[in-house]
Amino acid sequence: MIEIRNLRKEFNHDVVALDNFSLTIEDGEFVALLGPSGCGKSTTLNCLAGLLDPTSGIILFNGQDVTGLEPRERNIGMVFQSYALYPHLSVLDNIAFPLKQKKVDKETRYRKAREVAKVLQIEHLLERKPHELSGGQQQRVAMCRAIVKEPDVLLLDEPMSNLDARLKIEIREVIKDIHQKLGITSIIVTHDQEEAMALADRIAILDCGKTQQFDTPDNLYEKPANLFVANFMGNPPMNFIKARLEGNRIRIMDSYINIEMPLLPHEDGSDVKIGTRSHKMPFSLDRSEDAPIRMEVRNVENLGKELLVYGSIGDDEIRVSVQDKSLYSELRSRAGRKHSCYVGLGKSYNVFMTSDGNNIVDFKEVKNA
Amino acid sequence: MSKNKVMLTKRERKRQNIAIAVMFLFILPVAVMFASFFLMAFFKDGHLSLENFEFVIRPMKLRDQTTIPAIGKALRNSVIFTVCVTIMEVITSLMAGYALSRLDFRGRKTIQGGLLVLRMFPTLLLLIAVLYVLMATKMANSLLGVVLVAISFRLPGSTYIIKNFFDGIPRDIENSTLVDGCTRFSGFRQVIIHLVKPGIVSITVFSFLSAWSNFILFNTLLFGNRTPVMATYIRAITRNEQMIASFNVVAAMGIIYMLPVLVFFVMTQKQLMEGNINTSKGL
Amino acid sequence: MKNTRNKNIQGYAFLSPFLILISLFYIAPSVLTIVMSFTSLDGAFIWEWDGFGNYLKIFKDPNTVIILRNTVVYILVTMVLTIILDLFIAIMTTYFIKEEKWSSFFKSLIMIPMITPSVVYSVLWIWFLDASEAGFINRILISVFKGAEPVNWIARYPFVVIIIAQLVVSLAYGSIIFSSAIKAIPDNQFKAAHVDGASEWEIVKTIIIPNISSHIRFIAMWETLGLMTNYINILLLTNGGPLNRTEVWALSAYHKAFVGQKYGYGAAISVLLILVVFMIMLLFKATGGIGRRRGK
Repeated sequence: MIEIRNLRKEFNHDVVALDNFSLTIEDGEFVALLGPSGCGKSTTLNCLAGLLDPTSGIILFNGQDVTGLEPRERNIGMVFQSYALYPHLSVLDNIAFPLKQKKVDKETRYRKAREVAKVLQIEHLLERKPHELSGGQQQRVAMCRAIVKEPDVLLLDEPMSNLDARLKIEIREVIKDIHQKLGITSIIVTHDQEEAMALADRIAILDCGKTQQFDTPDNLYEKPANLFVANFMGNPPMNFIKARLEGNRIRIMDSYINIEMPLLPHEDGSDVKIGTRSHKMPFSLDRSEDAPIRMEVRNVENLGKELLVYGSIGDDEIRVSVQDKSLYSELRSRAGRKHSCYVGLGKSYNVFMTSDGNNIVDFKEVKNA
Repeated sequence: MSKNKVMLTKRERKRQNIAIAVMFLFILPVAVMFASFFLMAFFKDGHLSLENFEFVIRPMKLRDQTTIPAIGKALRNSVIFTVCVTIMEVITSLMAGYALSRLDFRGRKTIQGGLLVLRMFPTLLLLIAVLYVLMATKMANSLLGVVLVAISFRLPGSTYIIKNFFDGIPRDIENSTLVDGCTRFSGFRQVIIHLVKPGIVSITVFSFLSAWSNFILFNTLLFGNRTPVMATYIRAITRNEQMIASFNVVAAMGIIYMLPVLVFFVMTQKQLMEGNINTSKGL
Repeated sequence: MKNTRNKNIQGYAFLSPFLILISLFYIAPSVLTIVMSFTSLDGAFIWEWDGFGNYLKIFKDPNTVIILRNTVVYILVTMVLTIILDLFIAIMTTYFIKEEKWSSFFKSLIMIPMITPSVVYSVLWIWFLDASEAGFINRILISVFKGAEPVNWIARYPFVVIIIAQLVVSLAYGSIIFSSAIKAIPDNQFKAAHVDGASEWEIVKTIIIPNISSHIRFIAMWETLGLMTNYINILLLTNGGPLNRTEVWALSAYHKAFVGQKYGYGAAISVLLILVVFMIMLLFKATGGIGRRRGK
């Protein structure tokens, strides 16, 4: 178990990269630290590795305080964004390097290096030098080097950001595979939410040196704690519509809709933003009970399995998925003439306070649909 | 960039040929001067001969009846001096360059700034006071003193070059050695040093050439002819008013003196050029 | 904090040999030179305060004007010629000669005078210009013009001789710097100019020179500082003579101190020159340094 307690890191005495940051990671768990650049995720990882000294706070590995320990005393494996392979060593020597530092004899360390190389399917490259490898192959070597010494923790620092889209998916599978086989507690830093969703058991979303939400990918997607998280998760991004809470109704433009979600206590008449996913919004060409809100159609795309309609409600840009593909030509012509259609909020949506961005839906009261 | 053969158009080929011819003409006078001087060493009284090289094995009598000592001692001193200066300069500048590029300590920015000034400092103007420092530290008139001064005078430049090389090593590589179980020092020895090899070669070349050719330090900091080196050995003869009679012998000495330089030059001219370019970076 | 302290110790451990040498042979001598310049220190090594005596002596010395004029002319002429020839060589070997083997062949040849030990290099010139029939030039002169008298070149044209001799050694550094700078100019600039029908001279004037102007400024400063403070070639060739005709400022400090044993006086001359050197460095810094290399 890894515990980070009240971590704070300042650079040059004034730039605060992490502020009172805490996180607990269970054994064998795969956790992603996700956030925009500069959010403190790499700082966290470097503190975990011992490459940076936190200004204050402590880090525990299995209950033992490791805050003051050197990286080499922490038994961690790490994969760097640039792979950081040693250019003057062959692939085999690169992989065996951590074992050499542990004074493992030559025969054993080469045997072990070959074993992990086999798992990652790079046995045929062992005699080469790093510069003779492709990006994906270098990535695999870096993985081998990180896991060969059977570390307690595997740290991955944006390991896929230098790869093209197809390789990303391939390496993602490799990492997932390794994690399942070895069960090493793993922490990945990334700015790619898709990558985090695909790999991690739980994701911590960071912004400005603080955790915004630490939860399973599902919950982050369905129940974002605030606007920042909602903005960050999901493709296409969530729709946000300005609204006002009036009694038990939501007012959007000049339409009123009954509130369907249980809400935490709030002030009547609060300005909010309704957050809803494009495929959860009822849609119809004419005003109906389900779809009472007027939306001006801008454009429509045929995605094959469904239509994606772009439009605006007031000055909020939104996207709506439409299953009935026969509407395509009608929607095209409406888009050309700037005509409208109608949408609704459906049964499941989020309500964010405009003032602080927090989600005021009371998810404990939401029946599991 | 492209190391492959450049394909030239006919026009470019023609321009290049003209340029080559012009460059040959430009270089010709100096080339003739060098060539005829050194060729002279192999002639005595108009005949091909190696007699001018007699000083290599034993003291030699010149035409004006002065006797010059054998070159052995001067050659030995020069070799010792050059090897010491080169090795110590490389080690010292490696350590300093590493610290300035990679380690985090108080006053680092100040020293980095100072380095820029030191690089262009007119060292020769300090010689008077340097002589005094050597006397005060009991190192005057000793080879050790000259070695230390020679290292110091070149140290800011070398440190600057090697620091630039260290700056070019990705942080990730160094962090990786630490995670993989190295201490800073063992990581330096096993990985980092291999990555700055071109830089080491570059400062070695400069250090070697300048130490081997150095004259002024011996001239000002060593007195009495106790420790002759190649430079002072040759200079002693050329001061002679009757030198005219012995130009052939001087040329022969010049060849002996130049030989290591030329061998080194042919081996390392690429690094020498790159090193030159490095000295101008980031001022 | 413990960690910061360790880091400081580690940093200074690595730096200690460097710092010791720098303190011993840069900082201490700098301070000493300044102190010495206010004393009448001589061969007897007795420190005797002399106030501004040495400086006054410099201003009163009738030779000072000659030396100053020599220094300025020597620096300006050599520096300007060096830069012009550096540009010529760099443009020839990089822009006109595209094949690597030829351009590196010429650049290597140009480096040979630079790597020749100054002791040998000076003898070479002395022999080349020797006053008797043994001198190379005189031999050619006599064989071409029958009955011509041998000329004592160094005695007759000492200033020209030191300038040319210094020029030949200086060429390598600048031309290598310039040619690497020219290489870094994106090829499409030249292509565009060719398409626009620019002549070679216009390309040199409007593309090459502006692109490497910061390097030209750097070399101008570098050569100025070098010529100002490095007197070795003059020392070995003419030793300032005949009759002070090639005596320059830095060399006169050497002569006063190491030949005349007037250490205090020599130090004062050095101090004045060091001040000028610092002013030039500041001036160069203030006008923007060399500027970062353009991105690839």
